[in-house]
Amino acid sequence: MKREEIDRLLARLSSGELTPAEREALYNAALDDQTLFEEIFAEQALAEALSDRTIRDEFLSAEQARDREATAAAKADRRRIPWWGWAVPAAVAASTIIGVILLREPAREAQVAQKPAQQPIEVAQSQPRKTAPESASAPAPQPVGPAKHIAVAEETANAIAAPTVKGEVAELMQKKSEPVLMARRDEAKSLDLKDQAVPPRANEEPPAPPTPESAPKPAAPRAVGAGVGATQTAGRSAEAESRPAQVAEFRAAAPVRQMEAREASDAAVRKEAVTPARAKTVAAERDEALALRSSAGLQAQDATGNWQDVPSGGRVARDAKLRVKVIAHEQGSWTLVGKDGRSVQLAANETAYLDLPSSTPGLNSVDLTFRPGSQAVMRLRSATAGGRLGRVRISFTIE
Amino acid sequence: MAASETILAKLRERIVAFAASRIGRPEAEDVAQETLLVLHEKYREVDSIEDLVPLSMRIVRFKMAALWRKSARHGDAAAVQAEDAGLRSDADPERELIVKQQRRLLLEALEELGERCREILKMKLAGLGFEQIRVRLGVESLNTVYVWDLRCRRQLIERLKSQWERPQ
Repeated sequence: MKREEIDRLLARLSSGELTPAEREALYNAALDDQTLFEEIFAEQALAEALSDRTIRDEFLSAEQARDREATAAAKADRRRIPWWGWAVPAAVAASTIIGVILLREPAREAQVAQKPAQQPIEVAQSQPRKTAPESASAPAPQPVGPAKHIAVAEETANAIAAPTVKGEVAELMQKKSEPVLMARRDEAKSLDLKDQAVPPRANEEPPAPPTPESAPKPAAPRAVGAGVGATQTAGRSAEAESRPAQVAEFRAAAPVRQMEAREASDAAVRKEAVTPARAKTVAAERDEALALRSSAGLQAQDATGNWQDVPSGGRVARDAKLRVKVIAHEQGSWTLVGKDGRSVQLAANETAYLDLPSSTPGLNSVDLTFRPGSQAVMRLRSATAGGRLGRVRISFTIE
Repeated sequence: MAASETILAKLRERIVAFAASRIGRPEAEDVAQETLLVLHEKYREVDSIEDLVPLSMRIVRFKMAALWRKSARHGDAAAVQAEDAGLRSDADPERELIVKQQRRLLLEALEELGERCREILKMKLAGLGFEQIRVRLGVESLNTVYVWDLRCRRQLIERLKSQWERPQ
């Protein structure tokens, strides 16, 4: 008899399933095999022990208790939240908080950058042009009011100083080609710097050609590149008196800020010319956001010891003491780019002054950077993404 | 008759070999002789091999247990009677104590079995056959259940063998 057959018969013997023929065969084999005899001896003893009713009852009751415990434990396991059940939500919450902290400032910049598109931008307008007497029959060009508010789209904001003829603006809007925009921007800058009169609008009749007598008088002297007429300046001054001092400071620095924003925009567009449209948009957003968040202007000390504002590109005396007046309209850090690298952390609507070395040969511009946010946020940014940075250049000439 | 004698002769040979390895040759001869005597005197009508072999094994087990008890009691040279061997349940305090001890050991051994062994044993005690056990366990082959059951029984036998072969 094979071993497998013996094992099968022994198993069936223990469960009482052997037929009489199988039992006879097994016992016959056991009489000839001492090992099998002893195996059957043990199997029989075990079967006899297990046949004890007391043993069977105790074993089955113990098994039922064990089953109940296992069921209760399984239910408890299902109710109990595993450790990763807590860890996963905690990790998600932590990631969300960190993400919000990191993205809060850039998101705010984006929001602020979108605002100027709907916000009116003050545009420099020329003084009323005087026409010749013989052309009195012709309708004299209406003097442009002080500081018109024109809602300008984002893309045209950079070329806002260009002649604001509707046709040209429309052309700018339609073409949107970078070379044209760049040319318009350069033209706008030159026109603004020269403080030329704004041509009449497209729906206005062109003025009569000027005669020598009726040649336009030179415009009233004003700061080069100020971008705002004298009328506007007077109006603003009166307005500033009625407003808080911080608003007045912001207003006073607006011309400088606009000039610097345009220059920075041009530089950024030229530098990031790989994708011109994208670079132009990014530069415009950054500069507009920076202009709303902060402003910086150069000041020089005159002979009387008072500090006077110096417009960008203006002239300063050789020995005059120079400083940069920086205003943060929200919490941020102004840094003077250079060897010193001085930096000042400002709270919202706070003003500070950064002194400049007046005797530095060849010094004709000052670069500053503004980084919005608290110091903690800036440290976090420097450890991660680096954050966004606004850069301002103030140019001047030493006489 | 000749067939029955042949069976008894082989049976004696197996009993002597089995007992000799556990209690010594002379005592093994005595155990075998007393077993055959009980079969002859009390179970004369039993002559089929499927009845003779398990019955003789049971007698041998009790004879050996009685022999060990007698050896444990020094000075007691009383002969072991077949009636005292436990073939009939008598109200014997010593016997009851031994049975209780054996039950305790068996329950402990059952507790030490694995989950699957306990499950198989539970089904066997509930009267299920191997085919039903196979279905309950979700096993494809019946031989697998045989193998599992064989391992479980051997585990129990190894634990309880000393009780059967060398009772205290």
